[in-house]
Amino acid sequence: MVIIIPAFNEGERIGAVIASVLALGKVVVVDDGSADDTGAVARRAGAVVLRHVINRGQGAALQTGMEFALRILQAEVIAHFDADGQMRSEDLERAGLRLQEQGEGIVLGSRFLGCAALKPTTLKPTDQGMTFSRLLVLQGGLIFTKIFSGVAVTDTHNGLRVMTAETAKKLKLTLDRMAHASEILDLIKVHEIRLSEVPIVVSYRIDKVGQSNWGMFPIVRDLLKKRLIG
Amino acid sequence: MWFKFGLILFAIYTIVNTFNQYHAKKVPKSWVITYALIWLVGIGVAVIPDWFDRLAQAVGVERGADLLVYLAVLGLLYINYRLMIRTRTLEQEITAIVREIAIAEGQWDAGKYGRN
Repeated sequence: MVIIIPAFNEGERIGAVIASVLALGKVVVVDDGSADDTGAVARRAGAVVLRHVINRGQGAALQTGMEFALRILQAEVIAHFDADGQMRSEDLERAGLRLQEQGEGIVLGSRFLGCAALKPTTLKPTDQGMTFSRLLVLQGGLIFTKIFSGVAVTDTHNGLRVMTAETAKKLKLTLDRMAHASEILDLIKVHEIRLSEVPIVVSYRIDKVGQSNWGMFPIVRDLLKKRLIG
Repeated sequence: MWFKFGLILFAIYTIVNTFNQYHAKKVPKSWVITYALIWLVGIGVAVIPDWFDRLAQAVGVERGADLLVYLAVLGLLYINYRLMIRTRTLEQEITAIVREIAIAEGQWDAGKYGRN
């Protein structure tokens, strides 16, 4: 398995993230124009580092990683994993096993599935809880995705995915920024890719709560623009 | 009166300037023709406003000035659409270049540092 980790200014966390997944496969970190030492730390931790000379966004970084994994490493299985230390390696391992059972297509992580379902616990970010406002945005995203892409999933903007090389070849991402997650669902629908979800746990932290809720507006804008001008 | 005079002078200046740019090979012929036509219409409206009023009434708009505003809005929307396409194409080209550099450098990195 080739694990692709897009990273932007994650020098403080990337080392521990790589260490947690290194036993599961080859790690490729795409340093998306970081101003800190993300690339150097990742290299020391044992990852192959691809560096974007300027920041192009998470979607662009993932596509760079996938092309590298397919063209240079001849990967058979490709995984996406976040660089901010909020995901668990055991969830990635479980998603990999699910793909093995499935034999084709893609496995997506879901924060709202099964016993690991994440519940909103607070109005303010804490070490574990998801805020109510984030929950509302994500649930709105599910409805939007259902209407827009026609794909019924329980979690749309989740960065944990495991797929076969055949699937990765079909998922050519053209949306460079955060809308890539919706584009992936679009492409899954278009190419009729076999899809399943596994429950995962995401640990939210006080110091970094990931993407802002306002980030939904550029995502919707990019998706509409793609539909309008291709 | 002064507005009309100013409009005509500005239109002539713009047409001459566009022709100069064409001779300096800075803009294509199609651009010169389109731009010249637009500003010739502008001169026409300033010199013979009745003619443009009649044209407006023929297409169901009461006044020539109103027709001009509608056409301007449509033109700006179209230009905005073309610019969106151009911007997106440029962004995709930038990403493609950045990606190829990253992959080319990563090949060396994979051999030297990557662990299986």
